[in-house]
Amino acid sequence: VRATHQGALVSAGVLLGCGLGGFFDGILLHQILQWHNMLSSLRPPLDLVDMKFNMLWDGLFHAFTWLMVCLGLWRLWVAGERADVPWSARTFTGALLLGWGLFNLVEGIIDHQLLGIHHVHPGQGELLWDLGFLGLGALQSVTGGLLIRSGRADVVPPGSIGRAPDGRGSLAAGRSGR
Amino acid sequence: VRGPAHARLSAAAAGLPLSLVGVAPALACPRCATGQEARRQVWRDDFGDHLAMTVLPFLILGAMSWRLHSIGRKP
Repeated sequence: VRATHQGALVSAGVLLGCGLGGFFDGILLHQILQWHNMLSSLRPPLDLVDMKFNMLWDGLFHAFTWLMVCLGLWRLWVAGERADVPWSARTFTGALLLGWGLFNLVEGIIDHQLLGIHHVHPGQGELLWDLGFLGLGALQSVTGGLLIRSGRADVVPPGSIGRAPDGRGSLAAGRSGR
Repeated sequence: VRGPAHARLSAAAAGLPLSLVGVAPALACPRCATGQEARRQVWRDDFGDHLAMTVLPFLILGAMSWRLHSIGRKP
C-alpha cells in the first residue's frame, strides 16, 4: 500500500512546531533572559504593576501556544490512524521545523514589525535583532520545507514500519516502499 | 526529654495553619493591591485590541496548517 497523503502529517507537525516554537520564545526570551514580554513596547515593565500586567499577557500567549500543541497532538493522533498517511520521520521533523520557522516569521512580521508591541531585544540595534529573528525563521522554514520534500519518497503507512509484509515480525529493509 | 527547641517547633507547627488562614490572604499576591491593580488595568477598554494582537499570529498559523493538510490527498 502506497501512502501519499503527506499533508495530514505535515499539518500536525506544523501545529506542534508552532506551539513548541512559541514555548521556546516564551520560556527563553520572556522568562529566562527577560529580553521582552508580550506587550513590553506598549507597557515597559518598569514597575511591579506593569510587570504583572505583562506577565498576564505572557500567560495568555502561552495559553495559545499550549492550544496549538494540543491541536497538533490531536491531528497527529488522527493521522496515525489513517492508512493513506506516510509515517515518515523526515516529513514529521521537517514539519516541526517548518512550524517553528513559520511561527518566527509570522510573529516577527506582525508583532515586531507591523504592530510593534514588542521587539526581540529592545534598545540599541533592536532592528538588527528583529531581522535576525526573521532570518532564523526563514532558515528554519526553508530547511523544514526541504526535509518535507525529501520525505515524499516515504510512502509506508503507520503501523507498517518495522513489520514484515505479513504483519508479523520485523522488517529490516528500508522504509521508502518504492 | 523535651527542650526549648521542641517547644519552638511545636509553636511553629501550631502557628503555620493560623498564618495560612489569617495573614496570608490579606498579603499574598492574588489579592494584594499590586495584583488587583494589574488585573484592573488588563481588563480596561483595550483588552480586546491586546487579545487580537496576541491571537492573530496563531490564527494565521492555524489557517496555514489547514491549507497544508491537502498535500498529497487523493481527490
